Amino acid sequence: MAKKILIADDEVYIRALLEQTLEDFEWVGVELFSASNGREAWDVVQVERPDLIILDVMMPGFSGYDVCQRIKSDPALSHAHVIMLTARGQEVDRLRSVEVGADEYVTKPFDPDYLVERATDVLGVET
Amino acid sequence: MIIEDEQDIALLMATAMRDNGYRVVVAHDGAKGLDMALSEQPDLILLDLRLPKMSGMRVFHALREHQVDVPVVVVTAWRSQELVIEALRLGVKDYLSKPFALKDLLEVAERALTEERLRRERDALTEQLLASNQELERRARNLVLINRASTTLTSLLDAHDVLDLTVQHVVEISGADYSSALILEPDGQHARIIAEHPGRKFADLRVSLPRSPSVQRTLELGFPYAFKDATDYPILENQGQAPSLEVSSLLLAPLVARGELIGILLLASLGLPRTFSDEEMEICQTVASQAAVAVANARLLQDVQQQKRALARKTQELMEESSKLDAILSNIADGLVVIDPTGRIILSNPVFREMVGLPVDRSLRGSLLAGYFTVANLQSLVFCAQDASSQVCTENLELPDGRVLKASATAMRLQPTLLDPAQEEQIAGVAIVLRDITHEVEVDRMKTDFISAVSHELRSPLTAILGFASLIKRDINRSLSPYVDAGGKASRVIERILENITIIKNESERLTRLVNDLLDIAKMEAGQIKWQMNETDLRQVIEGAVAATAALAEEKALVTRIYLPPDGLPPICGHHDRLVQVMTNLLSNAIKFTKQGRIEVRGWRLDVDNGALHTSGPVPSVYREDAAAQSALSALPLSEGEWVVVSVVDTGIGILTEDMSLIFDKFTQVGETLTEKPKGTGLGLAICKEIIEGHGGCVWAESEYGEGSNFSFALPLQSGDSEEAEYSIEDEE
Repeated sequence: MAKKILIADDEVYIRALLEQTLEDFEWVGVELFSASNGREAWDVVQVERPDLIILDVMMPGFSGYDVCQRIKSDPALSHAHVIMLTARGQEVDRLRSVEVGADEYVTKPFDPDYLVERATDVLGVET
Repeated sequence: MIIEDEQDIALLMATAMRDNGYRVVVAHDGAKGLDMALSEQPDLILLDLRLPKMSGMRVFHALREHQVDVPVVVVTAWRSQELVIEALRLGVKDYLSKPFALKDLLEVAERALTEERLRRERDALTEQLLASNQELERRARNLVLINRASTTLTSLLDAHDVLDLTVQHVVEISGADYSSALILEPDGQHARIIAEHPGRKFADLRVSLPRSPSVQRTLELGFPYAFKDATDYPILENQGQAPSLEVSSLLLAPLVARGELIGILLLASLGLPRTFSDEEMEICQTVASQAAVAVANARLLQDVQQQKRALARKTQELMEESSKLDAILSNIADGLVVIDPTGRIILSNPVFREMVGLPVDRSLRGSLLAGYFTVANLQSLVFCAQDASSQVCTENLELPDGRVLKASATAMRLQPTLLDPAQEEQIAGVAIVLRDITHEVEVDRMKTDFISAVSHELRSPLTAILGFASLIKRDINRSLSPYVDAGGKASRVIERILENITIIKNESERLTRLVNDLLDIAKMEAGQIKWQMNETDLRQVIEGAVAATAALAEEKALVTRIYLPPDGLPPICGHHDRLVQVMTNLLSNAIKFTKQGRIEVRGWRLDVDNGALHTSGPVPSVYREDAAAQSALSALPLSEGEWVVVSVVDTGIGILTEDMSLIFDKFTQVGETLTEKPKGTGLGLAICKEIIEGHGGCVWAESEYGEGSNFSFALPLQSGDSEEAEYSIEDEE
């Protein structure tokens, strides 16, 4: 079964950046999904059950934390690895991420190569 | 004496009397008897009534006319009742009837003599009694006068009046012709006549006092001195100017008050020289001492009145000053409350009362501050002010209604005064100035919120710029490398594009750091950072920072060496990540500004003990060798206790002396920024300062332009006090 990545960010250019950063995975059969807000992200998660979910914290409607909390409280989604994307590299965000059960968090601005590295690890797929 | 015409009877009587020890003279007729009685002055006359030449009764009358008061016993031959009665009525003592027994004669004579003796004795006693009565009366009169004088004198409140009355009284009492009162001049050799009586001849005359030591001595001892002959001592000569007084005798009585000779009461006798009696001298001295006391009292009263006037004037001034101060206190914008060491309010101004929600016109004097004002930190603030040496302690107080007051407390120290130099310094109380900074706090919070929001909003575009720059680089490397390898124009263009992309990337990273730093410092300044204090090993901090900057150092071929004491550095209480941030900052600065040489990190100890500095461990040479540098250490605001110091020493370009004071300021980069290309945000050292001060420490720098710099921070060593460790999170929203 093909691996799936969900990218959720309300900012179109960040979404584009994330898509381009991870587009190489499509060449090795990984499916890439995008969502522009929390509600949409949660809908995609329920339908596609992605293996890697990159969640922006600050989104209108459902925040990234809310989505993460739902994912982590759903046993059917236990395989999902969540990377929180936070705008601030501050303690409170890190703790909040841990609290909602995120697997890791990356601060903006992030290094695209680092994200590729992380995705490779999590999915076990070489681009 | 026997006056008897009959020879036999006379002889018989004389013989009997002589036999019993009396001396006897005899006259045989009345005239002779009278003559003899007058010349011989006998003690007793035995008188026969029937005599030749002059009858017994006539003799008796004549004796009385000559005031010869001798007892007379009449002798009569026949019983003539009338005559005897007449004689007895006239004062005859007794009678004998002829014939009489010799025993009767002796008895009568004896009785008459005894009676006479007793009468004389009684008369003498009466006279004596009368005399002493008179003397007593006189003395009593004088005493009354003296008493009246002293009562009036002591009731007078003016020294001049006292002396005027004194001289009048003393003339009245003593009967002297003239009296004056002299007050001693400060030289002790002269005196001025203040009062005199009668008349005013010498008013205000300055006279020389007698030079004689015995006179001076007597007066100083408080005794009067009398000159019977005062002609040699012309005390009252008006310096050659008329009028002068022909003084014959002089009495000087000292005016002594509280053991001090203040003047002289002078009594003069004009006319014939006279001796002043002991009593006169005594009276004079009594009046003089009373007068002296009265003068002293009058002077005292004058002093008191002067002081009272001065006091009233001073009080008036103080009242004016006080009302000015009141006006100032009432009109300043800050609340002010002053408490005594027991916490009771001494003074408060209307603004303070308004702040604590009490009627503005109500005085709070005497009530406990804690009774009106119960907020956390207030007590600790008061303690701090009382403990700290001459410092102002400041604390933000949050009121239950949400207002924030900035309270500054200063202990009011009483310096040892001139009045009581032995008194130790005391704390009279604490003055607390309160300023409502609710608005400022709000503005500050808004500023921090704004910076947070801005930095958040900046991150998204930065993320896009940085991310796409990386992607462009990746794509070029991946897809266009064959053109690069081919060389030619296309390869040169691609190389340049890659270079420019790198610049975009680096500068975006710098912008990111700037945003991070800005956010950091905004929060630190707003006090929103809660330090996560744990037991921290500075060796780990140092090594972590050295590792983090290793790549940077390697680029410039610089070596970083760490020097620690043989037994290591004791653990301190600190926020590990923040301390790494400080170390990294200092190290990257050192590397940035050093072309060649080396970077040293030195961890050492500094003890401040009773103001003396003791250093140990690998102390940087600048603090080891130079006395001036030692004094630089003592100028640091380090309190008593033990400190751990970490110094970053470089051999870089150094800092100009005039720039030293600026380096810890925000957005300050000294030196030729364009040519040196420091590539910093200008916030690094400001953040270091905030972090170290947040740890209760202190950061400072030493530098010699062209030689290198030495940045150090000191952290307090808290002996095993792990309670300080506090787990909290940074407050963001």
